[in-house]
Order: sequence, then C-alpha cells, then structure tokens
Amino acid sequence: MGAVTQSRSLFKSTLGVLSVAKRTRGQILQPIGKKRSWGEIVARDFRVNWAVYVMALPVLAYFIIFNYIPMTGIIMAFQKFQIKKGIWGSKFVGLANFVRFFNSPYAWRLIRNTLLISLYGLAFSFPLPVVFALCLNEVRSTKFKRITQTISYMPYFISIVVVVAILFDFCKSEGVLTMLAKKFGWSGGALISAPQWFRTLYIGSNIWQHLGYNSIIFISALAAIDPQLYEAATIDGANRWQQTLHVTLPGIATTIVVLLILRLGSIMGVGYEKIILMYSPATYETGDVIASYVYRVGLEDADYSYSTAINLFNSLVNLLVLFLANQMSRRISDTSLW
Amino acid sequence: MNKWLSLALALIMVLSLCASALADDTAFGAVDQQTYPLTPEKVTLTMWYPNGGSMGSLADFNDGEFWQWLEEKTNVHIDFIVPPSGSVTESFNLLFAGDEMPDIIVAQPANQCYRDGMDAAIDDGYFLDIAQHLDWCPNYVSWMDNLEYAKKDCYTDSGKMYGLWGFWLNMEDGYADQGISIRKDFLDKVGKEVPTTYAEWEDVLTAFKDQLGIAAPFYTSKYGIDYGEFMAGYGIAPYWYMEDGAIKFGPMQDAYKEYLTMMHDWYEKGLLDPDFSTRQSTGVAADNDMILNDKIGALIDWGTRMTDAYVSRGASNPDFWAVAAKQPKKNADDPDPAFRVATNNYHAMTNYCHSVSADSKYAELAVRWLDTFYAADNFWNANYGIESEEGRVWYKAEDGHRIGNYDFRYSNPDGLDSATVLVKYWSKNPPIRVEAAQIEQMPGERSIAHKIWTTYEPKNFIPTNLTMTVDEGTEYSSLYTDIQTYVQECNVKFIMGQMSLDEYDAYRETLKGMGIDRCIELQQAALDRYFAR
Repeated sequence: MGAVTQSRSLFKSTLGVLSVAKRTRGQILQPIGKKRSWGEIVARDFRVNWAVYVMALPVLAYFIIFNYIPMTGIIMAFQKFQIKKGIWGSKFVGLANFVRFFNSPYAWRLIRNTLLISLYGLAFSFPLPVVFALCLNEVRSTKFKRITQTISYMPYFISIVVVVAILFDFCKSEGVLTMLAKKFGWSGGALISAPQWFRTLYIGSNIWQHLGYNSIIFISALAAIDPQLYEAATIDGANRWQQTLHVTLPGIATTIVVLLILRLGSIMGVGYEKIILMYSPATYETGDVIASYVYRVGLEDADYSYSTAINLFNSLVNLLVLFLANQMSRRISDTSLW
Repeated sequence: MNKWLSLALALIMVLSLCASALADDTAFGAVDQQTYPLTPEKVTLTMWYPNGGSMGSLADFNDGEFWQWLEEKTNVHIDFIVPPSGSVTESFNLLFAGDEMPDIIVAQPANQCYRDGMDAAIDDGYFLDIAQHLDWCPNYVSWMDNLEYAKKDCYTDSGKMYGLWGFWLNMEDGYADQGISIRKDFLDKVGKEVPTTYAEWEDVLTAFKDQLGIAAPFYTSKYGIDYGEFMAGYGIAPYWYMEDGAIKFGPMQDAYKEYLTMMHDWYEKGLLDPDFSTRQSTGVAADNDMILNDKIGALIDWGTRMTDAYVSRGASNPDFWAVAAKQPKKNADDPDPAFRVATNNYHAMTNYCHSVSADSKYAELAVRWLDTFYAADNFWNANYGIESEEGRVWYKAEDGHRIGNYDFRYSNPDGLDSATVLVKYWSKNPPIRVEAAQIEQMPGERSIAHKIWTTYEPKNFIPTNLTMTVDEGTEYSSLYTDIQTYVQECNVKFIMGQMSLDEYDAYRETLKGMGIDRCIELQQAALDRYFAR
C-alpha cells in the first residue's frame, strides 16, 4: 500500500511541476487595466517565469543540435553525394535514388518485412504490458508484487548481444526451443535459421525483454486513479472484474492511446541492431528490414545518397502514419498528441 | 680515337658492374637507406591499424617489444587507432567523413577501399600519391625495382600509388596459410585414409557421422561456402576469378550448380554442420567451442592449428590430431585442383596497403617511417622478434637465418597465449612478411600443411590492384552489393533445400536481371587495363 501511494504522489508531483508553471503564468497575466503588446507579455512572462525558460533551454538545444541541424543532410537523398564535394558541391540528381530503390529487387521485400515485424510487434507486444500492469494491480501482497516487478524488469538491462546469443543457443538444431517445436510437429531443423520463425523469435524475445519495463508507465498511471472511484464502484456493487472494466481501464485509457499513437509513429522504425545480430543469409527472406539494409548500404558500402533516400522514404511513411493515427484518435476518443 | 673509345667502353663496363653490384647489395632492403633517428625531436604519428582482433591480452600495441624498439630507433611514437574488429569497413568509411585523417592508414584495399576508387582517394586529396615521393622511400623502391610485376601491381591505371604495398619475402606466387583440415585421430578410429576425391570425402564424413556421432562432420562458413578450397575440384571459385585473362563469376557457371547439388545432398545426409547458416564464421574456423569439443570432423583452418595445436588451446580430447588435406577432386586421376580465389595474395603482394594522409603535417616522416619496414633490419625484427631476444624468442639456424622459438610462442614460460606472444614480441601483419616465420618453427608435420595447400595456379587469381574509374566504381558497387547479398542468401537456401536446385536457371536469370553481366564487363575492363599497364 505504501509503495502505491508513494508512486502515486510521485506521479502527481511530476504533473504538478508542469501545471504550476501554467497556473502562475495565468495569474500574472490577468489583464490589469490596459492591453499589452505581445513582446511585453513575453518579456514580462520571462521575468516572472525565467526559471522555467532556463529549464527548457537544454531540451531546445538538444532538438536543434541533434535533430534539426542534421536534417539538412536530407539533401543528400537528392544528390549523387561524394564525400569530397560535400553537400554543397555534389551533383543534384532529383529522385534518381528513390527510383533506384523502388526498382531494386529488394524494395518490396524490405518494406513488407519492416511492416510485418512492426505490425506483429504492435499486435502482441503492445497490449501485453497493459495486461501485465492490470494483473499486478490486482495483486494484494506488496512483497510478491515488488519481487515480480523487479524480476520482470531485469531482462531489460541485459545487452541485446547477450539476448540474441541466448536465443541462438535455445534455437540451434539441438536447442531447447527447437526440440520443443519438434515435439509439436516441426520438422525444419534449427528454428533460428528458418525464415518462418524469424518474426516469432524476434518479437517473442522482445516481449520477454521489455514486458516489465514497458509496464512501468501503466503501473504509475494505475496508481493515479482516485481510490474513491473504486469505493464508489464497490458501494454500487461492482465486482473486481467490473471495477477493472469501468474504473481501471477508463482511468488509464489516455495513457494507452497516447503511447499507441507514439508507437504507430515508428511503425517503419524497426531498429537494425537486433536484426543484424539475429539474421543470417537463410533468414534474409523474412528478417532483412529497411534499417538493416540502410546499415549495409550506408555504413558498410558508403553509398550515402542511396541510404539517405531509403531512410527518408521510411521517415515519411512514419510521419504519415503518425499523422493519420493522431487524427483518427482525435475523432474517436478526444485524445491526441496535438 | 680508338683509345678514347676503349676507355669509354671500359668506363661503361665498370660503371654497369658497379650498378649491378649496387643493385644486388641493396635489393629487397638489404641495406637500410634511411638515417636514424628519423627525426631529432620525438614526433607522434597516428596510425589507423585494423588489427583489433589480434591484440591478445595487450591493452596497447605499444606494449609490444617490437614497437618499443622501433620507437627508440626512429624517434617516432605511434598512436594506434584500432577500430573494433567487427566493424572495420564501417570505421574505414567514416575516416573520410571525419575531419581528422590519421597520418597512416593500414588497410586491405580488397576489403576496404575509398568508395570512388584508389585514384579518386588521391585526386580528392585524402591520400598522398606515393609515386611523387619515391625519394622518401628508398627501401620500398629497392623492393619494387626487383619485383617482376611490381610496376603493374603497385601503381594504379593512371600511374599513381595509393600507398606502400606489403610484400612477401622470397615468394613470387604466394602461399596458402589456410586450407582444409581433417581430424587424423577420427580417421584412424574409422580406419580410413585422408580423402582426396569427393566420393572419398563423402565416405569419410559418413563414417564420422555414423560411427563416431560427430555433429558437424564438415564445418563450413555461414554462407555455406568457403574461400574456394572445397569447391576447387569443380574448377570454380565462390565469386570472382579469372580464366585465361577472362573474368568469371562463380555462380553463373554450371559447375557451381553441380557443387551446390552435392552440398545440398550432404546437408540432407547430415554431413554438413546442421547449423552452419547461424555460425559466425565467414570462411575460416570460428567456433572454437565446437572444435575443442570434438563436434567437427573437417573444416577450413589455419596452418598454425594443425596436429595437436588445439590440445594446448583446451581441447577436451588429448588425442586431438589434425592434418592438412588437399583440395578434393572429382576423379582420382584428375590433377590436383588449383586454389583459385585471391584472398591472400597475387604475385608477391600481401594484400595490405599502407597509405599516408595527404593532409598530414608529417607526411614525409610518415612515409620514411613506413619505409623502415622494408629494410632487412626492421623486417627480420618485425617477423621474428627483436635482435636482443635471440635465444629466447628466436634462435639462429645453422646457416645463420632466424627461426622463431616454437616453445616460446606456444608454451610460453610467462603463461601468455600464442596470440598475445605474437603481438608482444613480433608485429602483426608487417609490410614485409616472411613466410618462413610462420612455417619453419612448426614442429614436423604441422609445417607440411602449407606445402599440401599451396597448389597455386596464379593464373586464376584476380590481381589485387585492379582500379575502376569513379563512375565505373559507383555503378559497379550499386549493382554488386545487391548481387552479393542475393548470392549469399541463395547459396544457403539451395544447400538447405529452401530453394530447389531446379530453380537454378531462374536464379541465374535473376542475377542477370540484377546486372551481373554489367558487373562482369566492368571487372573485365579493369582487368584489361591492368594487363595493359
């Protein structure tokens, strides 16, 4: 009980910091007599809330330095980039790099693999942390809850290299999982070199590794639900299942939707690290994704223009999906990022 | 008149005699033509040195005796920049994108080269054109002048020099330091001889599997093929090779299909490593665990790992005994097949090139420093250990030449492992490599391995130093990157049966659609230009 209250107050105080700024600003800016110009308002606001501005500065700098300035490199996607000539001197080739990608024998396969891994990942690894958080929420024994939570976080701190090594060991031709699959009628040899199994193993190990960690935000959202609502529901005669349906889920719905939209925004963003550790020529068929291809073309082959073009395409699709998801969510549930 | 003429003739004779005598004396760096120390004040040069996988337990190459000796002699301190061993190519490419090019860059242009080609690396102002500064490297010149093919092998098509190339001592046609290795103790148990034909191989591998229960009777790389050792009997190589001056691409040949058919058959019969496609090996032995625990019957391995070498490396079986096997052939009366692929060397080239940054403040010093490696004094020390280590790290043979101390290297009194001994007392892959350093010190049967494997037919190698123009290079790599991935993928699928060999013609059509013919054309053009140099 103590832990729950504690984390709840922590969550509230985090929200508090954000709302304090709003409140003070609101009070100060109450019109007192004559109308002020925009500049005056900002200057005055700065004088009063300068600490908040200073706090925002590093974040702003971060985005400008690491996200906006590098974006100028996008120009490379439309050039035949040569390192020596640089961005300003290389030849402009228009959409040639994009045409090359869509004509390449791998384009369709890469897009398909990226989308499928991402969609399956969304379908399986997104809901599970929610379910896990709900389950934990129902557990009465604090000690058991804490132990379970700690154990579930642990895999998150294991290096991906180690996770993949474990996976290889379990899925080689005499590995535990392969043996298990054989009991259920599998006859294709090592799971790790079977293209049919690649996505399952990729997503399955992801779930194992991230389940606990991803559930943290839901657990804190759960803690923020007003206990009075439960009391009221109990008085109305709701059993635990009904409480979950009518109090708990609506209580964390906003969190779920926001995270879902964010997740949709990276629908094409399957990272290359785990893929290049896991795939082999035998599993390129299902395992080679845009990110791993860009890695090969861009970093190993130094074909910067082409890899930039592919990645730009990737980002555009992401942006589009994010936008659509946000739009849809605003219509359906009134929750949206902007 | 007659007097003058005879005098002149005599003079010419004397002069030419002197010249030839001089040439003999200084050829191959016999007389060091640099003056030491190279610089009055100590200078630190940075060197990009991709030997991270061979550091043993050393934290810095400067902890090695050879490098300390060289620093003392030349007054040049080397700051080693060692890229992580798994991402050498990546790090190499990033050198050109960064601001700070190291003074010296050591690379194998066959694997890591400036994307737009060797000429472009010089034209774009990254690397120094050594050809313009031959006076800085007299020892290197003394090698080039005395090597038959040097002019072709060391210069680009347009007469530039990308760097100082590495050479083998006393070797025109190279040697194989890797090849097929088979467990003699297993052979004895099943009562068979070292196989020579593919049929005998199948028989032996089957016996390994059935009688001894070996999990991976034949271990191959994750691509299902090696550097060409095992397929040599089919008269083909894994990727590019040369036949009578014509460029060939292995997978386009009918023999390649035959070979894959056999490998598929062996895979089905359990004669290959069932998990080969998930191994880390790209060619030569990698999974030590499997070797040490008797899971492998035959594999491609290094010459230094023959006989009982694995016992001191921790093999669970004290009877471990590996011997070298020749490249298999189709019929018993066929001649021994040639090793066809240029992984190691062409003519006397080691495949390593030592380039100098054009922007370096100490370009001349860097070239002179590299040049010291081509002087006898230095390369003997680099290959065997420094002078003062006589009797410990190396000893003198009867005729006076050096021989490495086998026991010192492989059962080191300080308990160091052999990899650490190498970098602590020698230099890894120095510009001049002495074949004998690897072989001679080996006890008995281990040294035979190289002779068994070195059935070279250099006419099948593609020269190390083909150069493409910027446009050719760009076009080639944009096509070939995808092709290579596709070939690697399909090799594995054909062997594992995920793709049927009936689809082989369709596969070749796909390769054509991906532009393999154009790649062959481009390679051929570069090769023709090489011969025309």
